[in-house]
Amino acid sequence: MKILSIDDSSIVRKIIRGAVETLGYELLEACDGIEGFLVLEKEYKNIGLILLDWNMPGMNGYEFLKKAKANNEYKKIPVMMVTTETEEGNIVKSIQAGAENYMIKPFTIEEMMKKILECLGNGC
Amino acid sequence: MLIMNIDRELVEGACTNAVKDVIETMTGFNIDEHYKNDEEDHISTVEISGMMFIFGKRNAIFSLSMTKESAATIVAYMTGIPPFELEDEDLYDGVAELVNMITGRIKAQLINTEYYFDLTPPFTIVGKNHYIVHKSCVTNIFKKFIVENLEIDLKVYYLD
Amino acid sequence: MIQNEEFIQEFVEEASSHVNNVESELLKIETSTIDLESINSIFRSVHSIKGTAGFFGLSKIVTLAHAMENIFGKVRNDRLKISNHEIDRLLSANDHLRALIEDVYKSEKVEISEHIKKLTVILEGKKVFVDDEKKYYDPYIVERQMIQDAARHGHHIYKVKLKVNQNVSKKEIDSIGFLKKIESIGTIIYSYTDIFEIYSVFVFTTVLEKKLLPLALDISLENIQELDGNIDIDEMIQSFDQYDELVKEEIVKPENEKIQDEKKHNTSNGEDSIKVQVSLLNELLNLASEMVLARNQLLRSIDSFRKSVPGINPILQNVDRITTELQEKIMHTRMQPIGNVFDKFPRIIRDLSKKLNKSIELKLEGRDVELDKSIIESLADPLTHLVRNAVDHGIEYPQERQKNGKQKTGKIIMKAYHEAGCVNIDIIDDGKGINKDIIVKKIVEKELVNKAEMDLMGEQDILQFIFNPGFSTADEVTDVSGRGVGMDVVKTNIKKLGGTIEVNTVVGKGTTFRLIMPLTLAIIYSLIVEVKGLCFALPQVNLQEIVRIKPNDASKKIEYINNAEVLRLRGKLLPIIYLSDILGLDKLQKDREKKCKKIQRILVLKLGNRCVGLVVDKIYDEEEILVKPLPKYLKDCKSYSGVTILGDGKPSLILDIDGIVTKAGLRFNEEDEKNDKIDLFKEKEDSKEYNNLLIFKCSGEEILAVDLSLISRVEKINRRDIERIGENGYIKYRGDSLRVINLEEFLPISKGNDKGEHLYVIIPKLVKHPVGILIEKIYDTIQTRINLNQENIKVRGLIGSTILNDRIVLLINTYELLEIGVPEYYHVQDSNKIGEKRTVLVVEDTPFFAKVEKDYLEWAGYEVAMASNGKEGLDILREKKIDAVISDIQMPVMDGYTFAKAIREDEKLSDLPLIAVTSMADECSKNEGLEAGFDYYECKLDKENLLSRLKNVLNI
Repeated sequence: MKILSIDDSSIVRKIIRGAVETLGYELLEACDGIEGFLVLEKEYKNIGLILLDWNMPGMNGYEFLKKAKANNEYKKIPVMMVTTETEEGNIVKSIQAGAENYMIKPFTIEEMMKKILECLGNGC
Repeated sequence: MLIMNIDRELVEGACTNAVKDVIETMTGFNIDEHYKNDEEDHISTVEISGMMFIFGKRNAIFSLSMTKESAATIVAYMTGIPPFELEDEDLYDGVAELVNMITGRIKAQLINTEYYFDLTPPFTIVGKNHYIVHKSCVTNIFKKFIVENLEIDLKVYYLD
Repeated sequence: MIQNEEFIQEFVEEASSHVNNVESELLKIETSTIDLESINSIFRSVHSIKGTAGFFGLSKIVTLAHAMENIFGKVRNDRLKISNHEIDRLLSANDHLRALIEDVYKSEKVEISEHIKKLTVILEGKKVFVDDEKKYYDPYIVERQMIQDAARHGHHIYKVKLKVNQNVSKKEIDSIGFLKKIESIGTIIYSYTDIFEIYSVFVFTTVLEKKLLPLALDISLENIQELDGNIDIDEMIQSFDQYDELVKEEIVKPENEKIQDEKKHNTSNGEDSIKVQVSLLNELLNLASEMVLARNQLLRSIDSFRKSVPGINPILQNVDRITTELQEKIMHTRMQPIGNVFDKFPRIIRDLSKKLNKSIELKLEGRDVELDKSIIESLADPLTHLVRNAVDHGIEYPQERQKNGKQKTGKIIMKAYHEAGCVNIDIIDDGKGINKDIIVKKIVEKELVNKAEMDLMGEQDILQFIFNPGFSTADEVTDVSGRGVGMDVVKTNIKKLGGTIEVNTVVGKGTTFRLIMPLTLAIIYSLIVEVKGLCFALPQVNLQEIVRIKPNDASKKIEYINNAEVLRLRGKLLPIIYLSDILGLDKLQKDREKKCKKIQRILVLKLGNRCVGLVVDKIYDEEEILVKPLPKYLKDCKSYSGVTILGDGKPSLILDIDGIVTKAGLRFNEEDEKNDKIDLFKEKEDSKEYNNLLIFKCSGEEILAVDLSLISRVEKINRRDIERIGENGYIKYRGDSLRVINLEEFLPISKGNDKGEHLYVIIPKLVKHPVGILIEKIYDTIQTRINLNQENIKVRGLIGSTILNDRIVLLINTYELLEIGVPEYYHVQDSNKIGEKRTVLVVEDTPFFAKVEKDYLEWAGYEVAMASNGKEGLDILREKKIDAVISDIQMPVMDGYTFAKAIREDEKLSDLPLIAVTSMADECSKNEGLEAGFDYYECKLDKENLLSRLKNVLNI
């Protein structure tokens, strides 16, 4: 089962990779919304979770979220927003738009792993 | 233009909290503010500066500067990848992300005050031994944070 | 506790749509396997109903919905399987739920225990996985499940307590809106309203942290309490029980507060739609229509001033355009997809087929086609009746179907589609069809029509009788239909909406009812015509074309056939009616003659498949008119369908074509339609199929004919000119002697006495050795289509026979004749072996020549395949092995050149020998033919050349 991380910062993706691989999943990366859709197109059947940054060039996270939820195939994949704390209203907006959960930066790898498990329904 | 006085305690306090929280969460280091004496330079020699514009009642530039080595250490601890495996881009990206997170934290703390502000995406300035020079009468905040061999300079320059 | 009527209305609408969803999903499950999406959808719907109903204190609805929710909760978790039996019960419970919702105020008094009992049985029985020791009925199983789910997903559980109907920072708590807000960020577990303290409690799960909730739900932090999933669950559930008890007490109505419309109508998700009262839309529509009329008036009155006021033209155009768009768009707001009506039918079909023990499959097509709201609403009844009819009378019982070789399951298709500015709705069944004979019998029985008229009635006319009141061809009246009350109501209703209904049926195969509905009721394009000084509006939708007949124009005039006036238009006969007659404006026939001196204007109108020509005096302009209903004292006038105000302010009646045609007593023969189709086809071939024949006789009485294309000349000679040498006769022709023969000697025709001095000699074309054929008399040359009969008369020298003017005419084959007559010139080859096993494809559209060619090719021993145009030829080439192709050039569908090119382009066929045969023997055509890909270019009548060429080409 694979997890897709869409974030324009390669560092954030690397951090996420640590968490994902520790849990035993494979990480797919994309640096913006458009690349994200390209990856989705190929791999959606294997992707169990999308970790989505909010601020990205081109298509921002919220737009990506809406588009993904509007697509019959992709809407089933849970999405977790990964964002800095400033955008509180944005968090509510994204939950309303269908995001499963959200993670505030900064976060520890342990927190990230816990949230990933919860998104997948394996929390305790 | 009136040069308004800022509530230093509030704003600087927010900055310190933010830096400490973020660094600790992301790297595990307990970084502390280093209180400078007056003799020390206002000009630091750094190699990477992460910067951001801030728009609020007053506009400002925010910068976080450090040496390449410090950056490497921080990014290494954030990602779990050893420093020698890190590319330069990773460092620049990492510093930008740090700035992102820290200013985010500052914003959250000031959100219900008159210092509420908006941000731009961060950008990074790179150069060996570059200086950031400003007119001395500009209102600014300058803080240094040190832990072990990590050293981070935080600066806020108000533009109006 | 029922708080506020407007909220209730919203609840009813929402809940109704949920109930409909449950029904359609249940039906889906029944026909195919259980789909998790469907189960989830049902679950959500029922859950939502329960939640909102709980809020209003509608306990019966809550309990019923809750019971259903529990069942689906279990199904969802694979702990319960449901079969068709359970679905029946669930559908019935759902119906009951619907009834409760529709009559909310009385719902509390309705008994639901029966359904609850049945549902409980379903819930408890048939456990696939044995639960733990708990065998008691746990009504909160769903809620527990949800809480567990929440924990696994890291969600929090909150309890929000709100005072309802109290100003909280000047914002009213909109109950449904609030519930919706919660649902947008999480899942409601339970909600109830405490009547005594007038507060409401919501328990829900969400991933948001507590501090974000005020922002999300627009309430203050103090109202929110976080619950610990492990500890507080049972307590929570106990409080639910309490609530159930409470509701049985008397309900006290609090004071109603006024709520702003906008708040109620806006959903908090920020969706892009708004709820609007239909009455408002209707008002808008009326205003738009008045605007259209006002614009018409404006344009009319300004028309003469257009040039004198500078700059007014573009302004007028703008106003014109905007008005039209405005009206269209507003009309559009009332458009709804026909799916709204169609979706009722799966249920109807299911119930009916069960009741009657028939197996029926329903297919819906065109659910997205849109019609005006009022039309859609009024269609429900007629469609239901027609569908019931199809099920009851149309589709046979499974055994009967099987006996007749049909599939056991009958098919009914409901199809909606656009055609010619209208929306057609077809109800097609593959049942036993309608037996016209029975209808005829009933018509005669009831003496509805006299014998003379009966004979004149076409198929459509007869079938239309089923729409007569009291008319039923069913032998028995069933519960479902057969009383003869339905169909006439159907037709009347359809007509009221401005539509028509047609029937098409084939006994044993099925029936199609077609409803033709206008897209809109209100505004239509029409043509303004004048007759006897009065203006009328004619809807353009039926107008095909306008024909103008000048006096003394021979090519176009109104003719009389059997006392009926007709116009010949492009080969078809168009019945003519005079509008002035129909409307009773002109009783005098005398004026007809006078009319012939004036220019006549005829409007060709099309009704379904029938065309009619309507004569009017003057034709004005087109106008967009607003249809207003006929005043009641004119309602029975069949010729009019409404009134309108024209642009110049004058009122005018709108003509009803259907009514006019009926009034004129026109009967349309069904054959016309079939013929029309054949005619169209034939028209293309007409020019080819005509043969030019020379009709003649020899000394006997028999009538003979020869194709003119086989004749070079006909010479008139004197009997004396024939010189005999031995047995043969000769004449002088063009400085040379020409052998002549008498047909009587070679053909089985009688030899009469030689009379008369003069004879004619037919000199055949393109023969190696010209021989003249002596004939006695030439009757005529005619152009006609030949129906060649080759069976009765099989004689060498004759192609066959045909009937012309009621006489048998023998068609002579000049080639064969010459072979018999002068065998010394024509080598009769022993060709049996030559063509052995070779197949030649002859592509020729004129049957006459096709037969001639086929004949001599077969005589030469070839196998012949025939095609009547290039396309057919290609088809045959693909299927059969062909050794050579002989093709005509002038053909319909695909001509010879195209055919040749297509062959050459195909790799497999590129080597195929292609010989073009044609009557065009000039050089240009030859080159074109060779360029197109033909190998040789021969003249079709030159049999000997052709055969030898063929021999060459096949290397025999």
